[in-house]
Amino acid sequence: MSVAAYCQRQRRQIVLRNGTERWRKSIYLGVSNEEDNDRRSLARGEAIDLGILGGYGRGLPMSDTIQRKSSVHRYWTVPVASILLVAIPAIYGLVMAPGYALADPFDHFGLAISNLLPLVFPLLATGIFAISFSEDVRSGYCLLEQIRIGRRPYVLRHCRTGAFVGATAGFMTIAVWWVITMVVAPRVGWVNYYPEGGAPPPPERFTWSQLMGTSPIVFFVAYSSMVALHAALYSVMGVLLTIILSNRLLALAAPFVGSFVLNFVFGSLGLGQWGPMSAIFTQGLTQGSFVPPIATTGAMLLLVLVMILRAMSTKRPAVNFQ
Amino acid sequence: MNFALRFGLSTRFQLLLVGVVALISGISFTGTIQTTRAVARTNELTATGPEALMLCLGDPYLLVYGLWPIAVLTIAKCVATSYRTVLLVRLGGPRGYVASSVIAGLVVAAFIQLTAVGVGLATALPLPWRHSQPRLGTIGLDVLAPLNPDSTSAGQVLVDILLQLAYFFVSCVLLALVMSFIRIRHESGFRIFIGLFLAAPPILLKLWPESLILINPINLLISFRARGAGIHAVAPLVLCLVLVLWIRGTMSTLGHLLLRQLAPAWLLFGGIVLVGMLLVSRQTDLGENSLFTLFYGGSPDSMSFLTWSFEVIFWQGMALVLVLQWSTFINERAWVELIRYGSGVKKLAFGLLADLAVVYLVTAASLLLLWIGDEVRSQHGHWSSAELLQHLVVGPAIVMSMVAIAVLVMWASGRESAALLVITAGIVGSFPMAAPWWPIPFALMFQSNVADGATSEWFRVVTSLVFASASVAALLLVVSKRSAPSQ
Repeated sequence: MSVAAYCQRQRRQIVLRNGTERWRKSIYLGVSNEEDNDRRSLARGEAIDLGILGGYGRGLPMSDTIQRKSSVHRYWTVPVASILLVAIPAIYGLVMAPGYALADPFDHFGLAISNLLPLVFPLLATGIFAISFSEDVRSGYCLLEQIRIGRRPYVLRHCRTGAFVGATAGFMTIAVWWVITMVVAPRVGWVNYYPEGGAPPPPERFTWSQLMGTSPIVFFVAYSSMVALHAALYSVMGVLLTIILSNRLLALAAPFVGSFVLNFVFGSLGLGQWGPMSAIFTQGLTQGSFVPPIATTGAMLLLVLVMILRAMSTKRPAVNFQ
Repeated sequence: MNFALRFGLSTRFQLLLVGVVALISGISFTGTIQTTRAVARTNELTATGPEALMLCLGDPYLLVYGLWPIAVLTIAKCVATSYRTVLLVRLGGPRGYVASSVIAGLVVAAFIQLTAVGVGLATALPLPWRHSQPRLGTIGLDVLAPLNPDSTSAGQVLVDILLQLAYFFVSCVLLALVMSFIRIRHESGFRIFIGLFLAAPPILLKLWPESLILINPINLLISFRARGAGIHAVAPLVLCLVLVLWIRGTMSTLGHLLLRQLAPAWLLFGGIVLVGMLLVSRQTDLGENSLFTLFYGGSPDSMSFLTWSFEVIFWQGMALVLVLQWSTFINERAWVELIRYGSGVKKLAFGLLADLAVVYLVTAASLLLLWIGDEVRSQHGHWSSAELLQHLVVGPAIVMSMVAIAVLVMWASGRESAALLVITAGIVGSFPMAAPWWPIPFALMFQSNVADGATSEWFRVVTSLVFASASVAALLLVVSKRSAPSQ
């Protein structure tokens, strides 16, 4: 893109911002219909002149424009990040297995979700929906949608979507690997276990594994739910930070960086079990009670709630337009 | 503000050209004389490349009679010509004038040192780069020989060279600051002070009493002399910093500059690194070699989450903060600044140079903190040349390559997420368990590589520098083809 075209584009975005801001204020301030119509016309006129509103300005209803803009192809990060989340433990587990003396399938399960997955999990879970959402922010489409449906439904709708997508990917990460290690690998003979034939899984391996003593199904349901919840929280954080912060890169990196730094700080203080990642990936730590992971999850939930309130606050701009 | 207007380079450039010609002639002459003497004494060419390079940069006579007068005259010219009403208005008053003088001092010092390094390299390249015994005493470099008798390693020589470069830079900054204040307050005596700055170093070098060598001001300019007097290498740099802060008005000027330049992200980064240093030193016994222990990183044979995390936070965190600033530029200011600069390449080149300066500032600050920590713990740190090379050359080179690659993908794709993926790839790639080709470039700066012995220090230095150069070149190439960032 040439400098001239680039500047023209920036100018169009500024006009869109000014126009939609005027439009939004007219809605919130409750001005008279005539004034409102005037302002809407002014904003719309500027936008149409520059070809920003596309079909809407040329006689198509706005719903069509929104429908077209929100087509599926923009959400490419959802399948890509989901596949990566599922594939990383699978590949890592299968590649690393020959180098370890695994006692049983559950040992294999624990190996695959240690080391690499905890490192990339916050990033993939954050980006799974937030990267696509940040494209909405960048293009200015989020403003149109916000004007259409209002601030609160707008924030809640995207939080819901992010949470659903994140939770599904998180659950599938554990479920797929569980099926591979506990069902497929022993039958196909991909991995040699020592002692041969598999010993009964010792329940004191890592936090959450004590549930294996009750029933493998109980462990699976509880553990996969916990991972799904954390993936949902990271995903929602990504969406909310994209709305709150003006720098999109910072918004996408903050959950990952925050999680990494907190893990480092808690680890340095000898309180490793209180780190955000240690709430679900506890393989490197001695088994402990459920209190630290549940308390950490509660703190993260509280943080997300505060961020939702902050994002919905009408005292701040509609969105940090860039 | 217009760069030429700010620094007045049109006039100064001519002066610098004259200076460079004189410098090259002087250095060549000196080098020839020294080599002739060496051949005459030992009947064979025993000097190595790094020693010849050090000869060009650290010879006290060349510094005092050659480089320093050039620096004084050029900086004086810059300071004097910048003090005009029109420029003062553009610079925002005396405070901006002092700041611009400091930057001019940095530019002049960089130009002189780059030329000296270039000539030194030209002299050094034909010579062998390895040696097995102390040779400084055999090449007729009488002043250096007694001061640095243990320089058996080429890496140690390179560290000495870097240290001398730092001394010269700091001296030039101090000189520019003092000159600008004198220009403001004592206009009539400005020329007298220039004469004083020119005449003082030879007198201090030759006539200063040997019994008072510890407090000889020439120690601020010549690192070998300072170390020969038994002063810690970092002490004169700290003293210079104290002098800079002591000069009246500098505190507020520098504070103003720092507040304007320091983004909250840097403050946060500094805080995290500081806390990290304290926490890691609490958990592990740093011993005598704090640099090695703290920045150990990890390796497939010996992996600790704490040291690996700290290494990642320090180096990759630094890269992330720089990339954050670039993302702000690309998203918010690029379209304005590109018009002003007229060329993306120009803007990117200046920006990367500024980034490099910041990276070195942070790296130097970390070393200073380590040194203070060692003094507090009453441990006299023994940092080997290989470890210092890892910290001063390989680390900054890897950070700069990460920044260049991240900016490149951000510029080409228009997506910040791509830059984040680059940083993440760097972090994951530095994880020993995840890197089958250990050490990959993103993990070259780990001090564990020094202990491993799998790669030589020169291999790591050269690889990192090539990696950084290739990344920066690719970025500038893409920017030259695509003059504005993608949207």
